[in-house]
Amino acid sequence: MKQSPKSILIIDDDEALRVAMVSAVEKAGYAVVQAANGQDGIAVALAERPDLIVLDILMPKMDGRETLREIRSREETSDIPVILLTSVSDLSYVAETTTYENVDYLVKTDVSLADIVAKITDRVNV
Amino acid sequence: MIMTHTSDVAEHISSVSTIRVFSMLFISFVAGVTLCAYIFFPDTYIRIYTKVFDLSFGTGFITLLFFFAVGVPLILNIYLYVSGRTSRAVIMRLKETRDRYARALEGSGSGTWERDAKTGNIYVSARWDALFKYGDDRVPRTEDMWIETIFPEDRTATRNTYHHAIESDMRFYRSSYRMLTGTGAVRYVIDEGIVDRHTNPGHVIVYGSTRDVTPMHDAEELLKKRTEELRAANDRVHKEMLNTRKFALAVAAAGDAIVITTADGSILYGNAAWYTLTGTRKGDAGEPITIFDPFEEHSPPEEVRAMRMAFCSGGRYATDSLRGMRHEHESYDVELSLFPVEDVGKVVLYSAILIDATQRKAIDKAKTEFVSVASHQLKTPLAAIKWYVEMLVSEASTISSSHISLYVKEIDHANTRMIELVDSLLNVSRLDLGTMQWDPEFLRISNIMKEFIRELRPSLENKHISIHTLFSEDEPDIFFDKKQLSIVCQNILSNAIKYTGQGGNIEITVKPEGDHIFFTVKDNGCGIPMEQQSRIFSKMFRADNAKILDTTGSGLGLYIVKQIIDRTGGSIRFESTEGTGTTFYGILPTHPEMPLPPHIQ
Repeated sequence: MKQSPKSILIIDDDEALRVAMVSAVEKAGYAVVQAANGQDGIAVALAERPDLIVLDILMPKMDGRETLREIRSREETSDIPVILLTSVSDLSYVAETTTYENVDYLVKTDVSLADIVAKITDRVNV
Repeated sequence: MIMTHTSDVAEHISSVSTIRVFSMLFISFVAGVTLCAYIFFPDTYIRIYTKVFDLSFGTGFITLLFFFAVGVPLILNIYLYVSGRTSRAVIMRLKETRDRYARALEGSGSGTWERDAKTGNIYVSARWDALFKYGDDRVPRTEDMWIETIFPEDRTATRNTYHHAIESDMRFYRSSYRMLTGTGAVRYVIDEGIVDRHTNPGHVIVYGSTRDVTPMHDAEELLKKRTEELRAANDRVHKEMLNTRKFALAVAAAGDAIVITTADGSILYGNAAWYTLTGTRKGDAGEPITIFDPFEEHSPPEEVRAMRMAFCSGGRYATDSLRGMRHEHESYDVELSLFPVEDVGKVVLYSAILIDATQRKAIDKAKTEFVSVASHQLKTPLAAIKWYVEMLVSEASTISSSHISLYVKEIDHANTRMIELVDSLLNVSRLDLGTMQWDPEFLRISNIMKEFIRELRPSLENKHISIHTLFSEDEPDIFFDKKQLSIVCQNILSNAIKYTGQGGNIEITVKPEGDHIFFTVKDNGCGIPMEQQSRIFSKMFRADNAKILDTTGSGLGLYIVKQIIDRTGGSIRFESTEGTGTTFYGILPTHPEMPLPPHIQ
């Protein structure tokens, strides 16, 4: 059995949030890579092939929707599970992403860091 | 009584008398001369006589005697016979004239009369009585009796007219009044007469007739009534036409599109706004034939289906989700209200009102987006506070003091961001609603700038940014709301610091310009990408490079700045090159009017 820790990619443009998430996920024993925008995120995803991607929806340049579209369109990353971080008012905004499989939604202010870690654990250990 | 005014009869009589007088005079003269000659000069007479006719004295005497005894009476008799025949002919003719006149009167509905103004005696013809049926015993013989025959209400006026005619020097008398006949019926009559003051000196006789004009009067009344009715009807029609025309004009000129269709949606009428809305022209090839035509292609299919269904069901229908395309590439949204027009329980027409909802939809969309973006931006610091507090709690037993201060700093930072964001959102809302407080006082822009420079000193020193100020010595005071002016200065200044890199330069100038104050804030920061410069003052817009440099901005600052400056009669613009820097140029009146709410502007 492979013993190396599962790797998680966290893409969020807000530094404070990203740092908090990285710290929490690392503490849970995962290997974490991070990116501050969609473009960088895709590059990291392609290079690192993470086991799961946490993706913020509203970002400059390339937002979460476009990033997800790109991730799903690439063969290397098409089946990586994704957790989308949204706000409640984004619902119409994320509607198109519901056609993708293997995508979970979390509302940032509704969840704690522990919830995010639990969701990640839940997903990567299927 | 016969009127003898007919001229041919009078002429005839006078010519007969003239012949008679002259022939009598002639015969008497011849006879007189002959008799005188015989009496006074019998010898000479007989001698001339016998000589002329070659007769003896005795024969001459006898023939003369015979002449006087037989000839003269014979001639006279012959004359009398002839003239008698002539007189009879005249009388016959007079009689005929009278009869003709009587018949004419009989047909005319007139009865004649004669009134003696002095005695008050009245004579009325049989025809008069036949017409007005008073009978021999009641027929008016005096003026008072005549007045009695007049309808009570008309008595005074009629009497006055009559007396005026006879007492003045008028030759003709005319009066119309209502009369009571012997049987009590009311008739409309006209009295006409001629006033004779000469035939019998000292007498004033009025000869005249009373004509029954009731049928004429009735006809006239009827005509008057019918004319009135006709005029009223005409007025009504005219008014209807005017109303219809006004109605048509009002519909034609209405700002919203109005379409009248048949029960299956074929267009019968569309006003000007309909053609403007759909970008078509009446009579052109592309003119819509049915009300569905302009929307069929560009609206959601279920919307068009629902609209067709509405026409089948015959009920009312309304939607705001129709969409069309005009002028080949201009997409527009339509709000439709459909009303069936029923006649005897059957839908015969539809009247549709269509409103161009393009702008409203765009505003709605912008509002939704604003709320969405604003809530997202509020959630980010909220999430940060929540998560860092969570970390403080979960790591409480093991956490190092350096981590504590790091987490608390993040919480404080997120908190500050929230406060700023809520402030900005409130300011936008106040500006949009026009409820932003305006409490002006005398201020110096340079003083406010200096204050902020002092306040922002830590971040300036952090990034080693140097600030150069060029404040004019003769800078006048500005009569402005302090809070609003502070928002303007702070936003421009903090933007300059935010988007200027390590060791950058910022230059601030403030100087008077007429009754305005001119200020510039120049930096050598990241600049604004050319393609995004036009949107830099839009609500919640942030340039891509700005979003990367600072993830916490709201995109509201410059929107608020421009709103404040524009509404107080100033203006703001900028020059920027991406990667080189940005300069904002602002100008404000020293005594601005009280800013108007946006809907008045």
